[in-house]
Amino acid sequence: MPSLIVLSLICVWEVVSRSGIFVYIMPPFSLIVLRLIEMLVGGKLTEHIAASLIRSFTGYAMAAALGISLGVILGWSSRVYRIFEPLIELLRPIPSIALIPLAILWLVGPLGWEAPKVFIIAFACFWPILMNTIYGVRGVDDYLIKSARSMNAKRGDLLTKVAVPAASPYIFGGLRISLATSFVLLIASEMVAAQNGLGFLVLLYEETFRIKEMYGVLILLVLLAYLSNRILLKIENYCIAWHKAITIAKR
Amino acid sequence: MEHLNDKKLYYITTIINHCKVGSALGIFIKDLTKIYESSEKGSSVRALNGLSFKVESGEFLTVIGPSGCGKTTLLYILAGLEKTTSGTVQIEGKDVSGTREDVGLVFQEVDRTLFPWRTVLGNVEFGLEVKRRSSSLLSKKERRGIALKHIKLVGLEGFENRYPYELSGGMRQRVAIARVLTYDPRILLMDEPFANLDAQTRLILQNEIIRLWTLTKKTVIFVTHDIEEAIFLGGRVLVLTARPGAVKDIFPINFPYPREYSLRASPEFNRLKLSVSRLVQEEVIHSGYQGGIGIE
Repeated sequence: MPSLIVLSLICVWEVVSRSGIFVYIMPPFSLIVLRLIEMLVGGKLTEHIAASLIRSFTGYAMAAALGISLGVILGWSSRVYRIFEPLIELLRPIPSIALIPLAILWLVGPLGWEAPKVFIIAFACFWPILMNTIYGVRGVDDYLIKSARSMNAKRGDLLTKVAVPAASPYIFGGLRISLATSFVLLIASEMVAAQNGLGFLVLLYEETFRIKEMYGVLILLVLLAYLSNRILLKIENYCIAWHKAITIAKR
Repeated sequence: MEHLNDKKLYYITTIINHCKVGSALGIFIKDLTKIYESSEKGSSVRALNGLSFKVESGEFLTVIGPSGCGKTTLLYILAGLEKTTSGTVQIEGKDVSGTREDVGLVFQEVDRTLFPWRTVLGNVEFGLEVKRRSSSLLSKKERRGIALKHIKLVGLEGFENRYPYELSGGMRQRVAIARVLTYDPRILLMDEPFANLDAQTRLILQNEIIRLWTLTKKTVIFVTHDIEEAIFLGGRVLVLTARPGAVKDIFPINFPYPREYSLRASPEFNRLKLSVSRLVQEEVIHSGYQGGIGIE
């Protein structure tokens, strides 16, 4: 079982930390957890958790909405794709973290301090969703389209009732990748440009030598990332149960 | 050749039929030519060449010909999926200019045409879902009811909530048929629908399709490579030439419906089968197979 491995690693941590070798930078795991629970129950972290989740979810949702809709259009029409391909290939490889100062410059004035963070998260999450959607729509079996057309389905229905469902396994692939990305950019942008949030806390605790608290927040982040992935997986299983079943049946 | 007398009979009845009812109904094809252009210079493919024939409303026409003769192209053009290069194609008096609600197509590659993310019911009601131009927009419940009726009609009652991957090949083909029947097109096009099925299922579905045709009185064009199937099912058999496809001959089949299995053993049936086979063999040799299909 995988949890057995995690458990044994935690035990190793506990033992090593108690030995006092890295007394300042490696507090005992049990104490970290206790402090974390203390902070959570005391309500000290609520504001930060809420702020972080709102930022990342907003950015992620924007990326998903834009990425899927543009991805469907670009995947469907190779003509339109060819027009935008140079622009995509130019913007896509830009490391999103590098854009944080630029985002601050442009967006804080008109939209306030939340805007650059949300924008950077959205920017980073947009590309995997876009590319996976394009790929998925491109790869829709032509026969599915042909049979829908033979039943006199028009382009709107072809896109929404055939292309999107057929491409949905790939779309979900993009959504899962981007979910992980959203956490990375969340923390990065909060370290640079925030007054609250979990990323802000990590940096704050490190700078003020509250090492136990710092580890606590990191563990919390891991849990949140894990939980959100499980939720997305549940949604995915509901939506594309058919695809998973076929893959199993094929074996 | 015996079929010459049948031919005379055919011409006489056709003339009488044309005097009775305007051939505005049914399907009218004249000088249909289809050329597939390729990006490479000089490698275009002429799939159909001057194809001309008529199909009466309510008729069951089977189409047979050697591989690559353009049978599928013909059906795609009738369904509005492909454009003609030249020639006239009319369905019920109107030129075919794209897909239409009154035409249904059952593909050979069934497995690739059923929507894997939808259940049997979801697949079957798709045609009604996208049918917008109906003056009476159906409620979801009504739509469901019609779909369920057709699922029952093809003998798949109880499988409404299964997914295509859970069904056998024959069942999937029946789903495809139910799907096409549900939105009630007047014209039914079938592209070698039983080709990928085992022999027993084929026999079952052959009887099924005649039963459904008798019930629904649709105009059916049934493409097959199986000569016996063509004669057993069809009211007329259209034989196409090798590529580029044109009309080689048309055989009237005067056996009454419903047709018993024992018909296949009758001498008259087998006479016809031999005649048709000879013609097909000629075209098979034309398309390059020296031995033909083995008829002396």
